[in-house]
Amino acid sequence: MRTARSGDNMLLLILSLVGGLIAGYFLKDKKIEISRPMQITLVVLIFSLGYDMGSKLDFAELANVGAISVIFAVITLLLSYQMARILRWFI
Amino acid sequence: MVYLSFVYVVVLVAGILLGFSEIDFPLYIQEVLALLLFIIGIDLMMSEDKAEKIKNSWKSSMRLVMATVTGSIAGGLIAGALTGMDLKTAMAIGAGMGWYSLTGPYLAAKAGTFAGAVGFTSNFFRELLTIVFYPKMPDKEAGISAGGATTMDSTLPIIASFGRDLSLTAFMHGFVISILVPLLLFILG
Repeated sequence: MRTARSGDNMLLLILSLVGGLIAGYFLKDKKIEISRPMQITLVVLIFSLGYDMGSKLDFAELANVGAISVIFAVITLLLSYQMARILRWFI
Repeated sequence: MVYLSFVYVVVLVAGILLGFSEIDFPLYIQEVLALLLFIIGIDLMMSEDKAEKIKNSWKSSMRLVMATVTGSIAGGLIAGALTGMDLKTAMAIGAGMGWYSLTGPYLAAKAGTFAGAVGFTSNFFRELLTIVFYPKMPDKEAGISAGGATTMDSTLPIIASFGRDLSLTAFMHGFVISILVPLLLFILG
């Protein structure tokens, strides 16, 4: 997979988001169905991610991904929950 | 949304299986990612009804947004330290805040296949854990932070079942987080 580490690729992604925001501003009075193209784009991206995982990672690495992902999910979820309780004392 | 999550997992597994088969397949991840960000930009600006809802529960939502962002990034940092991952990448994984469909492909393109895989699955697990455990959380308002970006769509029905005020707060929280996730990924990814 090509990386986006080069400045050109990063600029492309930022310009895409900004371009979408500008286009959305001018299109906001029109009734345009946006969810379908978004879902199709997501499916293509997720399939590509899966293909990339399957072609580059072996079974042991995939198992490692699962274990690490559980750690990330649990810690980020619990910390967000606790931060919300703590911040209520101050704000 | 639960159906969509299932579709995404099936598509991911199909991609993995095709990858294992070593069939050569052209990938245009950068171009498709750029298209996705363009569509996300349009979606964010076209949501006038969302802006109306946002006005209603400003203060509590902003407090929860602060908690979600700090908790997720700090959580990513701690998880990264525990698992030996690059800490900047780990913070970016945490900054996905449940938006797995964006975080996974983005990190795969930016930081490599392994980071993308963890970015996808960890944020997918976060959504699943919120769906399963939100009803059991004693503090329902703080529980909104657990859901991250998903509180404006997939986990909203569960949160809404515990009160109309909570649903407005959850929606606004998820909406603001959804704006912040791409920006944080740009910075941390």
